[in-house]
Amino acid sequence: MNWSLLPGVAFWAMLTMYILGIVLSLLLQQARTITIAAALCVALGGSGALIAGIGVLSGAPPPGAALQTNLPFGALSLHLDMLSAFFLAVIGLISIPVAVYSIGYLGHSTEVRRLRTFGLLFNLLLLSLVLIIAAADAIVFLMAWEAMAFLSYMMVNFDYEDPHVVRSSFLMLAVSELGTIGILVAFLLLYQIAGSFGFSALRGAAASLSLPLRSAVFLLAFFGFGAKAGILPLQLWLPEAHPAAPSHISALLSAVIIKLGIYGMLRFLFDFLGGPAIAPPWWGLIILSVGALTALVGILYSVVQHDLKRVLAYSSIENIGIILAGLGAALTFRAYHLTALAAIAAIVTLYHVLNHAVYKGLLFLCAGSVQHATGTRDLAKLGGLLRLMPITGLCFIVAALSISAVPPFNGYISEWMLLETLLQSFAIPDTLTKVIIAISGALLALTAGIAVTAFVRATGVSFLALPRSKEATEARESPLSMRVAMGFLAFCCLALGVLPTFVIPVLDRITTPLFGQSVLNQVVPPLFTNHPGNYQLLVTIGGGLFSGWLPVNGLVVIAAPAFSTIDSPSYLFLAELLLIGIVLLALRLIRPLGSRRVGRVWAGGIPRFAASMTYTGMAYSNPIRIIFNALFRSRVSSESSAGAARYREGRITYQQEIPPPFERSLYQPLLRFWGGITRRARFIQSGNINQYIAYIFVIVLIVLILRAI
Amino acid sequence: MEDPLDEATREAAARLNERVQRLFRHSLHIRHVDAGSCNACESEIKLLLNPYYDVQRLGIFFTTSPRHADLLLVTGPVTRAMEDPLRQTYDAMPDPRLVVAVGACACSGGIFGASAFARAGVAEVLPVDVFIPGCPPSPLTLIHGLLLALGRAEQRVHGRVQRVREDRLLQMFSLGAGGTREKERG
Amino acid sequence: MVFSWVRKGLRTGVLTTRYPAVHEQMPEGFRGKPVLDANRCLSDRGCDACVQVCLPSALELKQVAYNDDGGGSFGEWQLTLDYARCIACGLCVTACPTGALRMTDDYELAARHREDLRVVNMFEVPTMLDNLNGREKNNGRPA
Repeated sequence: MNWSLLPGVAFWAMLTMYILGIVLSLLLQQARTITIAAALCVALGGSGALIAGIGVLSGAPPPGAALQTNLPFGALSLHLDMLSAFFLAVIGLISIPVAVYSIGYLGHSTEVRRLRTFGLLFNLLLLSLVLIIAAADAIVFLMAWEAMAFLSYMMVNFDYEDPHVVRSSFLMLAVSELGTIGILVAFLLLYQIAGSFGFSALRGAAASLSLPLRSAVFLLAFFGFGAKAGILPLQLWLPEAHPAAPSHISALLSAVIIKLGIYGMLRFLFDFLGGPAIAPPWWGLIILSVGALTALVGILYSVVQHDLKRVLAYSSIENIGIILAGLGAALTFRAYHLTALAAIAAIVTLYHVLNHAVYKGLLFLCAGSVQHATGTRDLAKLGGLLRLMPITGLCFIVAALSISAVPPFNGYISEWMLLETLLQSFAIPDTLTKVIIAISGALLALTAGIAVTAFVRATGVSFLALPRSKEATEARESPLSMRVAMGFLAFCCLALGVLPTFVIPVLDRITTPLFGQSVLNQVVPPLFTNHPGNYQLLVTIGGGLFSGWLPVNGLVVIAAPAFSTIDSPSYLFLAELLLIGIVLLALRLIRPLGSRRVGRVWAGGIPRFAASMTYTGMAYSNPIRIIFNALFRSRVSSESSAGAARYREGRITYQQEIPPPFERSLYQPLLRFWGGITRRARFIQSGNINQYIAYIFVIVLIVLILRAI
Repeated sequence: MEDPLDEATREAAARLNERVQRLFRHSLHIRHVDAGSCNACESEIKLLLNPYYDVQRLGIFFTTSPRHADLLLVTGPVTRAMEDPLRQTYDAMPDPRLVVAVGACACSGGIFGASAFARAGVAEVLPVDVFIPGCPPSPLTLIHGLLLALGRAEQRVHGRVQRVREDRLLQMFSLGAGGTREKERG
Repeated sequence: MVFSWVRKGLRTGVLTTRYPAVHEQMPEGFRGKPVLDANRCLSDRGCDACVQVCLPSALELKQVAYNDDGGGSFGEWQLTLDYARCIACGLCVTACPTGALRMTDDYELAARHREDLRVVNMFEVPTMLDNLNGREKNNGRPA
């Protein structure tokens, strides 16, 4: 069988599956069958996407198609190049567990119409996502982009009875449209020169643009796609929309849809505007700075949230910042002709896209499981869930470890490599650039530390200690489909972290055509071969373990070739397993002097354990709120009733209010300014039809005059 | 005094005791619990850590967590309110563990005796390894008692039943505790 | 600041006691363990001065009667001194008319067993039953 045809077949099968899902959602009658059918179609389509993506990345011929039309746009074409294949694989990988999860999540719902709409929209949304990725000309891209924006708005609006949900989804749509304007203008600017909308034509056009126009395209594309990705200062919709959506949609949003913003940026910056002669260094520095600041602000706000999903939403903003930092570093290095470093930074960016998709998807699915079981997302009401929901708790802990960059999980390798890459900036000749990169690196390191705090808080307050409310006490573990979905993603977290040397060659194949050189042998030294090269003796001996068993270069990763900063999460994982085994064996062999007793937790001999004695989320994050209060501008009020001060009957109420970022400093002044302008311009709409006819008359007159000139 | 245990059990207990004493001989961590004491005993216990008595030179330390403690030092007659916390503290200590009752109240209920509000000493609640009488016992008494628990000092008091005949002409075997110089009191 | 501490410490030298390597002598007037000289005790002849004055009931006087196999009746007075209850106040020493109770400065009082802290003095009284009328010489306080 000709395996190289498999990706193509998978690609078309995937599209067919989504269309089948649409059809089945419309035709089937029973609530449960609709849910299962729609979910299965998405899952099978996702599998097709995964196979197609991995196949093309492994070297199979990329599938594509073109549809000639008589429209003035020209041909509508689809083509999967390496970058598209990667994002397609990510979409596929995440959509499978999300689909399986939705079977359990919507299991109790019986409203046929709502489920029918869900099935329809789910398949349509994924179809639009795939078309965005596979688009090979701007028209397909933009049509699919608009469809995605609208469909995701409708999916977030699933619980449309809640006015808060309606407002949040509308905000998401509004900001997305604002971004689309930027993208549209960027495409049009390129089209002006290219004359056609096909990507290959646009690629060639960038070279002929003057520098100011190129920079305009860059800025429009950056902020246009950034609105979708959630960069500062356009992140305002993210913390509203992610909690408001049902959990599997939140997972899809955070894991996949905001990555489409990154995909757009990569397409513009590496593909269309690629080449060192075209990108001046300040582009990369802007992206790097915005990324570092986004990361810091995102994680700081994540620490102080009381809604579990808002914690995750702000954390998504932080990770987008990290991805942008990698992107900016790649651009900057390329502008200074350090292509090897640029390629490594690009590999890191792509790796982090994959990692974040996996662990953020898992986090949202677990948060959804918690919400499904307890009915609440408020950290002050959760607690003690690890004993009641062990699988959800374990998966959440795995995801929290991954997002805190703890080896051997996947977050570690991408964050470590990013920080190492930023440290390589000493090779750049310009001092100001080096300073900016150094400061950004420091901000990212601070972000990593605060991320650990945020997730220790989120995990500890929701899953450990005692249940803080009646709802938490009555929580039960989620249905099997939800558990399977979460377990699958948790396994991916571990696998991607323990075997990074399987992922890096794939990413290298993506960056090689964009940067012109392959850095694989520098990043993953070929220690498994007979002539490994010039490495220290220890590395050569240790790195040769398992040689011949695995189809990779080696199991060791070098993040910075100039310094040979070496790490091997694979060996680390083995060492950890060995250590755990030795410790367990030793515990078994050492005879204890006394008996084994199972006793109560020691808490100072108090008579009774109550949940009110445990740490609250607000208390845990309070030091960070106080330290960074210049950023938060929080308002704290404390009221005590009459007797409370003398320890008698009474109550003390403590209230903390933290407004969302930029609300008072940017958005409200902007809205006030815009409102002022529109108020002043309102005189145009007088309601008087004679005035409107006068407008038409004047305009026609002006047009005729201009025509004549 | 009747010994309810048989020979084999006593031997095993002695071996275990010796092993425990070997463990803690030069490094003992003590957790103190005030089970209703008047704090005179605590005043004497705190003197153990001053430069004059300095029990840390003997390898004896005070710790706050019963999870880290080898020996539980109890003062007070064990009031009703402190009975459960005392038991919880004892339960939280990992094996092997020792219990020492300090002061007349902890040994026997002291001047309070058994009442509706307190037990008559720690022995009614926990198995006690060493009793240190006194009201309050001086720091040297405490040091002697702790070293006795570790097997580094000898026990000086021995309970006895002595018969005194009517004629009083027979001298009984040794009066009082040997070794201390006794002063005549008028 | 630190130097003045160092100087002062060097001047005073080491003050730590060397107990238990060296036996430490207690100062004059120290109240340690009270000791009973049974030869001088008159408790079998009706003296209960120390029992009356003892606050924590460390001193107890009990009358025990038992039957001799040969048909005679015997009784004995038991004066128990329980060091576990003794608060070393010294009132018993002051109250004793014959000086049978002596306060010593013995401070090494720790014991492994509760029974080790009880000293029971039994005074045999080979008198007739009529002398034994079950009087509990503890003035109603619990024995």
